[in-house]
Amino acid sequence: MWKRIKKRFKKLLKRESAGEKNDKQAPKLAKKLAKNKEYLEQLLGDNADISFREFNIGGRDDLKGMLFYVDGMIKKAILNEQILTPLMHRVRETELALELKKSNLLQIAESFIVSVDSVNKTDSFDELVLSVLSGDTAVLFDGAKEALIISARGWESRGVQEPQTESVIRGPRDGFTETLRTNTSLLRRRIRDPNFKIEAVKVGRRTKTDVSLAYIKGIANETVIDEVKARLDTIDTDVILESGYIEQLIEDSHYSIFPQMQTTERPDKTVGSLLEGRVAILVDNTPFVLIVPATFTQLYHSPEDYNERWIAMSGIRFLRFVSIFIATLTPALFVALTSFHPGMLPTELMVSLAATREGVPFPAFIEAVIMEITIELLREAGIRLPGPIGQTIGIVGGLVIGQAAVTAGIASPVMVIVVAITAIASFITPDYSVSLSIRLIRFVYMILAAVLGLYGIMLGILAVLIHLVTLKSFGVAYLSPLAPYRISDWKDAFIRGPIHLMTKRPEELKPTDPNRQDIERENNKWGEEDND
Amino acid sequence: MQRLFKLALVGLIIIIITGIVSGCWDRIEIDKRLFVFGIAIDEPKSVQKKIEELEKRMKKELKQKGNEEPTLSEVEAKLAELEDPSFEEIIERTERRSKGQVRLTIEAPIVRNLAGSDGGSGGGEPSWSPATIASSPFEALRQLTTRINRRVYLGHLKAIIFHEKLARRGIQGLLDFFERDNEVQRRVKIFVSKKSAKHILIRKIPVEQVTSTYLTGILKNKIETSRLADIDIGQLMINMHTNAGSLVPRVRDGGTDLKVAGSAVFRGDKMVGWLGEVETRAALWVRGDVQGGDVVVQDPEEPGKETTYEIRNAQTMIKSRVKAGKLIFEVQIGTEGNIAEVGSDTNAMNDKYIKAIEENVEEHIEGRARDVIKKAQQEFQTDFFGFGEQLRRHQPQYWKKVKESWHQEFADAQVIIKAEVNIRRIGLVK
Repeated sequence: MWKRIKKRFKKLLKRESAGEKNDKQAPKLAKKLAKNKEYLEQLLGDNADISFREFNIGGRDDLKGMLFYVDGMIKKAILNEQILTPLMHRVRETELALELKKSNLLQIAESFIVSVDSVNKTDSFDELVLSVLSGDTAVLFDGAKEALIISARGWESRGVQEPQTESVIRGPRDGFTETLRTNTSLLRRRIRDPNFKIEAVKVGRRTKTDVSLAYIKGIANETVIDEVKARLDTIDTDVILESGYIEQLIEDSHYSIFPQMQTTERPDKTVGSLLEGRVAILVDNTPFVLIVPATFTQLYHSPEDYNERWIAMSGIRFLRFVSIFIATLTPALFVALTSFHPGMLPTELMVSLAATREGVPFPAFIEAVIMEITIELLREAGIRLPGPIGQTIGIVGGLVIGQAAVTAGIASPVMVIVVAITAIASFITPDYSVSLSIRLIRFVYMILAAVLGLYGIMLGILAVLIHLVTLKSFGVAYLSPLAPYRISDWKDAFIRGPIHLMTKRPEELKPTDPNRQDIERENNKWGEEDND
Repeated sequence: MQRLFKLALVGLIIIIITGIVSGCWDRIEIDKRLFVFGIAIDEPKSVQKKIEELEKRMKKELKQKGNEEPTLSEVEAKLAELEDPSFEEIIERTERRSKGQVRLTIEAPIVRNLAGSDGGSGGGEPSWSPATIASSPFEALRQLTTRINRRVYLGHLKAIIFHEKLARRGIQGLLDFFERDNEVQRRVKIFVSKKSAKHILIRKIPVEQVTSTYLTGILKNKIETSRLADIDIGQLMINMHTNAGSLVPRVRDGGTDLKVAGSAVFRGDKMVGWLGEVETRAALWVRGDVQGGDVVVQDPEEPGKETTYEIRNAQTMIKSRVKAGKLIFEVQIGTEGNIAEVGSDTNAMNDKYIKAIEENVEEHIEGRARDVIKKAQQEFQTDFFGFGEQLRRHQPQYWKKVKESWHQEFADAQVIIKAEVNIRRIGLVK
C-alpha cells in the first residue's frame, strides 16, 4: 500500500517537473506570418487534409492573415461567411478599416470582425496544433504573436439512436453516440443542477482523446472523485480508442474475471447512477460510458426496473439473479449428477436421463463441452455476421445442429435442453461484460464437476465467492450490500423496493448527501390531504 | 505481484495434481450403471426340499400319462431317468448352493424400455432380475457383478423383501450392509413374504412396470385402509438396535397381483409371528397411526344389516402410571369420521341413530384393540405399540429399571382401552 502511494507520488512529481521543462522549450509563435507558416508546414505540410489559406485583410497588401484548419472537421459555411468574408471584404465598408494596423489587427479581428461564438487566443504552437487537429480553425495574423482559435467544429457523425446493447420496453430510447459533446448534452438535459460537473481531461499520448468526468458535487463522495482523477492521471499510453482501454488501465484488479466498472450506452442509466453518488467517465469516440464504483448487484439492474411498478419488477429482477446460477451451474450440475450422484435425482428423472444417454458415445462431460462450445461458436458467429444473416445462423444452429446431434447420437436430448437453458439464462444478464465472465466461468465449473462432482462445484462456488468478497471497485466492496452486510441497501439490490421508500442513497457509496427524499414530508404529504 | 503469481501457480498445480492423481474414480456415467430398485433375500433351497420338489414334478408327469396313484418306486425310477442335468447333478448342485446363506435377487429396470422414448418404446421387458447365492448380501452383490456388465448402484433402492424363514432367524446380519453402505437411502421399505421373496419380485404387474415401485406405491395407500404398517430401513434399524418391537408389512403373491396387507411382528431383529389385516389396523389404532379406512359395524336399527363408518382422522393418547407395582397404560383413541354406507333403510338424520352407530364403532375399536394387545402380550410377548417409548419419555426412572426385560414387563402390564367416536357427516342422501 505504502509502496504504491509512494510510487504514484514520485510519478506525479516527475510529471510536474517534466511539464515545467516543456514550458521552457515549448515553441512560441513568431511575429512574422511567413515564419509561422514555415514552421507549421514543416510539421504538417505533407498532409492532404491540412489546409493553409492566406489572404489579405480589407484588401490591403500590408495586412496578411492565414487560415489553418483540417479539411473535413470544420463547418465550411461558418468559415466562409463569418470569418473570411468579413475579414476580406466587409471590413472595408466600416470605419474600422481606417484603424487597422499590423499591431492591433488581432485585437480588432477578435472583438469586432470575427462573429463566431467561441474564440480563444494562444501563443503556443503545441496548443494551436492540438486545437486544429481536434477540429478547430486557427487564424494567424502577420505581426501578431498570438493566433485566434475559432471553434467551428463540424464533421460527419451518427445521430442519437436507440442503444443496441441495452434495449428496454418502457423508457427513453436515446443512447449515447460517438461524439463526446452530444453525450454530455444528453446528460445535462436530464440534470439541471448547477452542481452537476463535467470535467475534461485529455488522455493518450498520441490520440489525445477527450475524456470527461461527470459527477454531482455534493452527492458523490469526494474521495472517490479524487481517486478517479488520480487514476486517470496515471494513464500513460499512446492510444485510447474506447472506454474499455481506460477501464482496463484504471481498474482495481487486472487479474479478476469480473468487470469492476459498469459500462452503459444509456443516458438514463448514467444519470441514475450519478444521482446515487457514482462517477461517470465519458470518452470521446465511443458510446460506452463507464460508471464507477460498481457493485455486482448493480450490474444486474436495468433502468427499466425503475420505470415499471415495483412488485412486478422485483420479480423480474429476482429472476435475473436466479439466471446467474442457471447460466453458470446448469451444465456442471448435469455432469455431476449424472456421472457422480445419480442417487440425488428423482427416480423417474433418473430413468429417463439414463435412457436418453444410452448409446451416447461420450461421457457427459465431453458431451457438455462439445455442445457448449458449439453454442459459443454460434453466438460468436452471429455477432460477426451482418444482422439478418446473424439471426438465421442462430435459428439454423439451434434447431438443425441440436436436432441433428440428437439424431446422430452424439448428444442426448436432455443435454440440448441444458445447453439451451444455459444460453437463454446468460442472455438475460443486462451487462455484456459480466455475461462474458459468466460464460467463461461455466467451463471452469464443468471441469470441476467432471473431476470432483458436486464437491468440486462447491469448491468452485466457494473460490468464486472468496474472490468476489475480496474484490473492490474504487474503495467499494464489490459484493456489497451482501458483504459487507447493509440491510438498508437491500431494498434496491435483489428486489426493487417501492420508490417512495427509497429515501436514502446507497450507503455503500458513502455519499456526501445521503438523503434522496425528505422523509418528514413524505410521511405527512398524504395525511394532510386526507384531513380535508 | 510476483507473490501473487507464485500463489496462483501453486494453486493451479494443486488443482491439476488432485485432478490427475485422484482421477475421476467415482465417475461412472449414468448409462453405465445398473440401478437396483428391489432386492429379494431368500434362503437357498435345501437338498431335502429340492428332492421333494422333483418328486412332485415326477408325480405330476406320471399322472398326466394316466398313472393315477404312482408308487414311490415308480417315481424314483422316473427320477433316475432324468438326463442333462441328471438327478445326481441336480442334487450335487443344490448341495453346493445350499452352503450359502442367502439367495439374493435384484430387480433392475431396463431403462431403455422403461422410459418409452428414444427408440425402444413399448416392447421389451421393463426389468431384469438376476440372482445369486452367497453367504452374505454384500458377497452376493459382488458376485452378481460377474453376471452384469455395469456397475451396480443402490442409490435408488426402494424395497427389500425378506423370506419369512430368514426373518425368523434374525435379519440383523442381513441388513447390516444396507445400513453401512453410503449409497443406500434410509427410506428403503422392508417387506416380509411368507413364500419365496424372489417370486414376489419377479411377478410382472401390468399397471406398473417395476415391481418394487408397485410395492412401495401400495404402501402409500395405507391412508385409505390402515390395513398395513409400513416401515423403512432407518426406523427398522433403530428398533433393532434398541430391541424394540416392529411391524413390517407382509407381501403375498395374489397370482395376478401382489397384496400388501397385514404385518410380520418383529422383536428386535427376529420375527416372532404374523398379524392379520384387521389386527394390524387394531395395532395401528393403539399406536395412533391410523390415517383413514373403514369400520363395518352392525346396524343398530336392523340387526343383521351392516353400516360402515369412514375414518377421517384419528389420534391416540397413551398415559402410563404405576399402581401398586403394576404397570397400567391408558389408551384413549379418538376418531372423527362419516357414515359411508347405511345397510338398513333408516334415515340417518337422527341423533339417536348416529349415537348408536358411534357406540357400535367404539365397541368395535375397543374390542379389536383389546384382542391385539392380548395377542401381543400372550402370544408374542412383544411391544410393537410404542408403550416402551411412552414410558421412557414420561417415567424415565421406572423405564431404566425395566428396560432390559421390557417385553416381559409389557406382557404383564394392564392396558385400558377407551375409544371415542364422533360422526361429523352422514353423506348427501336424506
